[in-house]
Amino acid sequence: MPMNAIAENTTPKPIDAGWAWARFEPDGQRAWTLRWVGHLYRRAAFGASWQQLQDALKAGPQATIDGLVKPTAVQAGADASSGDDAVTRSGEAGALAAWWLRRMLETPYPLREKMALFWHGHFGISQARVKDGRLMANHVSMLRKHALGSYRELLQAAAQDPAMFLGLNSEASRRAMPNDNFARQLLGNLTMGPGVCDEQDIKEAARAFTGWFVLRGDLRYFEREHDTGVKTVLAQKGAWKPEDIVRIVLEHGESARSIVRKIYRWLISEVEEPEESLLKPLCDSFAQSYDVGQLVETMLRSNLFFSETAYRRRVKSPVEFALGIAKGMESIVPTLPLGSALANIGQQLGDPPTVQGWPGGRHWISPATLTGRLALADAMLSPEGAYGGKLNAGSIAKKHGSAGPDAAAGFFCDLWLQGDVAESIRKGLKEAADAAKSPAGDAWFRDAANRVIRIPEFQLS
Amino acid sequence: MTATRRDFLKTVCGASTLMALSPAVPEFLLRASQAAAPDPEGRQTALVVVQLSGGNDGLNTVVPYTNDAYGRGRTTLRLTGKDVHKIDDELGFHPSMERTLRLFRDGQLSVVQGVGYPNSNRNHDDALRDWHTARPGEIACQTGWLGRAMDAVSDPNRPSTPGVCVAPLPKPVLMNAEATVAPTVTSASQYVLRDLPQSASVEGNSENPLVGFVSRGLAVSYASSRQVQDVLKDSGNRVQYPAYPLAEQLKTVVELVRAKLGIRMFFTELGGGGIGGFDNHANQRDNHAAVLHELSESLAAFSDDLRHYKLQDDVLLMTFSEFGRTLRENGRRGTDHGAAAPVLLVGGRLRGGLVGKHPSLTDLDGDSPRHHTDYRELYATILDQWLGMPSQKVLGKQYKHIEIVRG
Amino acid sequence: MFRSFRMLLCFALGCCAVAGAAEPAAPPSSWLAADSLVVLEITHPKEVLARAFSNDVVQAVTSSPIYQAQMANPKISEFLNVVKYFENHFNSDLPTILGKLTGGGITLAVQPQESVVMIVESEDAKLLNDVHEFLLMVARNEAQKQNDPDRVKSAEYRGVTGWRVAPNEAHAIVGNRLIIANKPDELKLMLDRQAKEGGKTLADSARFQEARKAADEKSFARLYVDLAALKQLPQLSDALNRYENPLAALLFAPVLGAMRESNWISAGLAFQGEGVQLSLVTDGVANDPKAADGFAAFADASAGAMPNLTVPRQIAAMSLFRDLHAFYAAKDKLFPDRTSGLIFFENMMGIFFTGRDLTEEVLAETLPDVRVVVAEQKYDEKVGKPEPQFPGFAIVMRMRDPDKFRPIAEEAWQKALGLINFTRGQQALPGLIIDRPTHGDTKYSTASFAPAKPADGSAADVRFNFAPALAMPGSYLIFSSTQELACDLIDALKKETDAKEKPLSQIHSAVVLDGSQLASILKSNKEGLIRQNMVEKGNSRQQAEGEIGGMYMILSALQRFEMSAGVVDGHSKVQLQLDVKRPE
Repeated sequence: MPMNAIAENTTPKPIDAGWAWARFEPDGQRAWTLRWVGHLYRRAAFGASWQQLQDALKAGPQATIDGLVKPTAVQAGADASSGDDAVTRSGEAGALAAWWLRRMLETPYPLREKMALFWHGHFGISQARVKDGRLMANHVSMLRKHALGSYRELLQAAAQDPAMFLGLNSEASRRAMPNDNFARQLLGNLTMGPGVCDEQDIKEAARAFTGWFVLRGDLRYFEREHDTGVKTVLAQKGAWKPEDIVRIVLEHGESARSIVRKIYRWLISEVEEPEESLLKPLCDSFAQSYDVGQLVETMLRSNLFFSETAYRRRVKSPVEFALGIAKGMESIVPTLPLGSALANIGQQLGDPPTVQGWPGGRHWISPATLTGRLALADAMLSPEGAYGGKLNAGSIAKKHGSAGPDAAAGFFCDLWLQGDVAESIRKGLKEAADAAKSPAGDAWFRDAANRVIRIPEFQLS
Repeated sequence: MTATRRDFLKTVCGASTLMALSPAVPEFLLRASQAAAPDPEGRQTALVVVQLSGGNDGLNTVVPYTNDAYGRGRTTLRLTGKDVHKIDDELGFHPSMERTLRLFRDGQLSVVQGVGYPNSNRNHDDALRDWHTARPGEIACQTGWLGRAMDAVSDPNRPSTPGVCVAPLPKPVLMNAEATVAPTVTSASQYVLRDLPQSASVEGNSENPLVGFVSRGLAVSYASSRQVQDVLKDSGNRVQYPAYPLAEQLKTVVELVRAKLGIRMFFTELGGGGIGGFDNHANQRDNHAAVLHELSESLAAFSDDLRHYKLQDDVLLMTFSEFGRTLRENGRRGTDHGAAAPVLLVGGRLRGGLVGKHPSLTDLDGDSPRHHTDYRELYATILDQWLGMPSQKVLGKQYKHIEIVRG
Repeated sequence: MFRSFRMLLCFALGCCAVAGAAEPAAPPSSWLAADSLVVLEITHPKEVLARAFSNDVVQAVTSSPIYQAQMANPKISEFLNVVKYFENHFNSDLPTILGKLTGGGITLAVQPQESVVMIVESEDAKLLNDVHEFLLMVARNEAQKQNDPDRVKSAEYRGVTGWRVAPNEAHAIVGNRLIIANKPDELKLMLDRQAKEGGKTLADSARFQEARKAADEKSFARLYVDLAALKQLPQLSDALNRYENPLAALLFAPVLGAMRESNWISAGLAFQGEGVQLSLVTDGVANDPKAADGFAAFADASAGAMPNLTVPRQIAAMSLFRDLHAFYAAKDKLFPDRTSGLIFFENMMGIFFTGRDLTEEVLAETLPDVRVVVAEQKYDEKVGKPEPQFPGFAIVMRMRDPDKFRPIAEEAWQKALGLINFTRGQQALPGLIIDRPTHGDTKYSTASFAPAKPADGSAADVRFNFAPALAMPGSYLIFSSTQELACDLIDALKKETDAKEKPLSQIHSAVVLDGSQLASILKSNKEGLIRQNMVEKGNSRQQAEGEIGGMYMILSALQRFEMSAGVVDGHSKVQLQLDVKRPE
């Protein structure tokens, strides 16, 4: 396959918001190539199989995004591993991560899982603090249910979720001693971002949450412990209850801005901070509706998404790194060992490091985590060991008509990087292929796949 | 050649940019590592933290064997001048700690006495959290003091691994950071990557700053892999480590230090996970002797190994335990949770000797010695004077320093 | 093609031996080196073949899902094609050909210097030659095809033609015997011995003769191991002198001790009823009560473990003759590295037993009669079945002075319950409620969780697997994880006492295992195991169901497994009996 021409940077600077958020329509300057298909599947899903890439190439951008945003299988009521709840509820070590990873691989609706993962980091609730597998599984189900719905509803649901209270050390809040941890997170990370409101707002908001207790896994309300007095939060006065605080804080303009900025970072770029003016149209409409699905769809369909501003401007998280390999290899992997391997390179599903979630970006990368990533990839492709040969590079290459060393090396490079790498790297891959005189067995294919995984661009999304 | 790429070459190769164009990748990588690991401004120091889980009985570790109050408080656990390894006329190490005395006499070990904090907690989990976070009583604090130190020094443009957890514990809070990942390393061989014949080069060509960034990281990864391979190959003449889990962890630490990977902080542990440990509410004598023996023998092997490779001046080890124990026995031939206790330091650049006085055994805090040195003063000293990391940023305020490190 | 034939050859050789036909002039052992380390003799291969190819077995195997799955493997079907071709060529079926080829017996020996040799004795010298010619032809063709025509070589030695078809192989035919070695020099040495010019042979070895006498007469296969020689290996001698952990020491000390004292091991495999029996005999006996691991030494000839107890739904039972007091008193010698952990355990016991010394005041109160029983349990309908389902398990011991020790044990157990309840309470988890009911004429203690069904209709909590009980009928002490098993054991012990059961003389360990009951508990936990398999191995549900189903099938085929170990006629003996039934 010929290398895709690197599209000229057609992004005007400073970026015009009107152009940026208009629908991307391929033209002579920016054609719909494999490069953009791969980009879309890395961001809106967890990577793609060769067939998915080819189908999308035929279908064009808007039809492909239709399928990601509203998968027909899901409309027909199907979803993979819907029976995973029972196991996650058992609270066994690693069960939550293992079944979630499996769902990410099998689901016909990967965008929903991608956004559930976003919210997981956003809320920053950790099993290590919740200490109850059932509650943690319910928390993730809640994130999934509202992942592409209304953020207003998601926040209201979170304000009724026992895992939230446990995860924020707010298992008891009494009239005489209000616990302000929940309010602090609600008025900070969950909405306006840290440092926007003052301590007094947090103290007042905390009074609205008095009377709420988590007892033996249930969220309970005791009227006698509730502070019924008037509270002043963000300049609004009233005898507020938790749902009022959620409403008030979402009415603050900074809330929509902060969430849009976070989702921009998640879907478009974590390299450059976007200009205020660029995000303004999105913020204005999000502040009205808090419709996450609409926001995500606008971003995915946009000119900006299919531009150099977004292309490979994110570092893959460990989850994206590992699942991208499995997706390309068209197989389910043993997700129990995978879950713990990912934990050791910095992303333990179910256990974000702090309530700020995973900061991601360059922080994912250190010599130790990179070594861990490459060793994990090698283990996943190995016929022996914990991953037991579930991923077979040789059979996938042959299945797609690339049986010889040279063709196979090119195939993996196209599958994962859409061939979009420097000429010197392509040459290196070819030299390695030529050096493999008679590739006996599938070991050579595994090495070829590993070589592509070791290309720096592979770490980027 | 793009600016990023030039920058990359400068960073990893110094002036010899031509090397990068050579197809001899291994040679190039070797150079990359030599430039990347040690700090050009000077020697790179490392800190090893040993957690003694369960609450170590400081009074029977560094024993005030001539003190009457001690003698009265300890009926079955009392150690006399005949039992201990004498430091001076008043204090001596526990009978199991023969080799600790040797380290002390060689100037490789210091004892910081009476370390604790005001209103210290006597619940295991809470006290451990306090020692890990360095924010006593702040339940919502999720980061550890070493975690915050890692965040404070990590430079997003220079991929590095500032800290690793060597203890077989899941996610110690001590190393939890907002941003930096501290991996668990159970064996140095974890850093060894399978060699692929004709490995693709690590160079990246792009206007994209992330490509250069990842390339630099990969260069260091490959170099680290080689350095660890070399270290693991050279195991001749090595000091014999006893067959204890702590010794095993410290052996891994020395291997990683020898490989010069630029890791600054290591976390190891003794006494937790399963039965055994320092929490001796009943029949303390034999069990305490056994765990102190493990500690003493492991520290001695560690120190010998470092000295064998002339690395003793680059490494500082400190022990800590969530609390000390009560002076008086509890009637079950054991002791209960207490407050202040001594901290042991091991390394070649210590002032040596005893730091601070032995706490009074007549003026007690809930039947336990009172602290005169706040543990955050110790942390601040280590951060500022040993690791060269800003303690005020990590600890939230400037604590005074104590005299432990030689200039 | 050639590879497949080599496989077939190996298969043929691996499966066969000498029928009880006329005893040959010189036994195979007289062709082997006197210092052979390990010798395996399959003396009655036809018996094995007859069983392996019996209609029942063939039908059971071919109808099993595992077999069906294997048939999809192209390598297996290629192999079966080769078999068919072979059968056509010799105009007979495979079992018959194999039977004739090997009917005189197969002997395989590992000798010093990594030499491995094999002697196969055919019933039909002509057939042996025909098959050999056929295989040589195939080998030559294959070598020709690969442009390596010199690969098949031959040479004469002592009037016998020696052949090589692969680098690590040399063989010859001597009369009706096929001899194979991994080195040509080894083949020559065998021919020297055959000509009685090779010096001492294994047949002359007193050690071998002694070991062979000890082997079971009825066996169809025998194994001889020169333990005295192998013990020179540091790994083996280390393994025999060190214990990994206290449990391993407690279980295996008498067997390891006997091996330390032994010069040889002799094993025999025989058909017994519906199953197979393996007997292992060594010449050494470890019966020194003063040794650190001498806690299973018999004081007199009638001493030994009690017969295993039998309860309803029993999965497994074990009976040990072990002096726990002697065992624990020697702990420092047995596992010096684990002192800290053990002392901590002792400390906990010190709390439960109110400061009594574990060795001298607790374990010294027990008799060397330790039994363990594992049985599937029934669940209270008010609670429903938990997920996962654990079997009940119990330990049965005997007290020296029941009147003195009963209150001590009762107090320790109630303290332990208190500790469990307190710890669970700290975590806001439900605790155990203590009851003192009576079963038969035994008043005992039990503790159970208050029944509670989960509101969302999911399986009962895992805690409902446990209703621990302590019962002390007569001089026995039963500590069980379920109340039901404790009651069943009270009944079983009463039966044993009424029948005046005697110890199994000089037996120190006895184990029984019921395969169908084990299969049954696997079935109860099927869903959980399938799910575990899915995430552990990355299998689809269907694949996971297949794997768990295969495990179920194997376990249900295993009807009963029995093992006993002890001293017989001055030798140490371990006997294993495996009864199988046709898979369902």
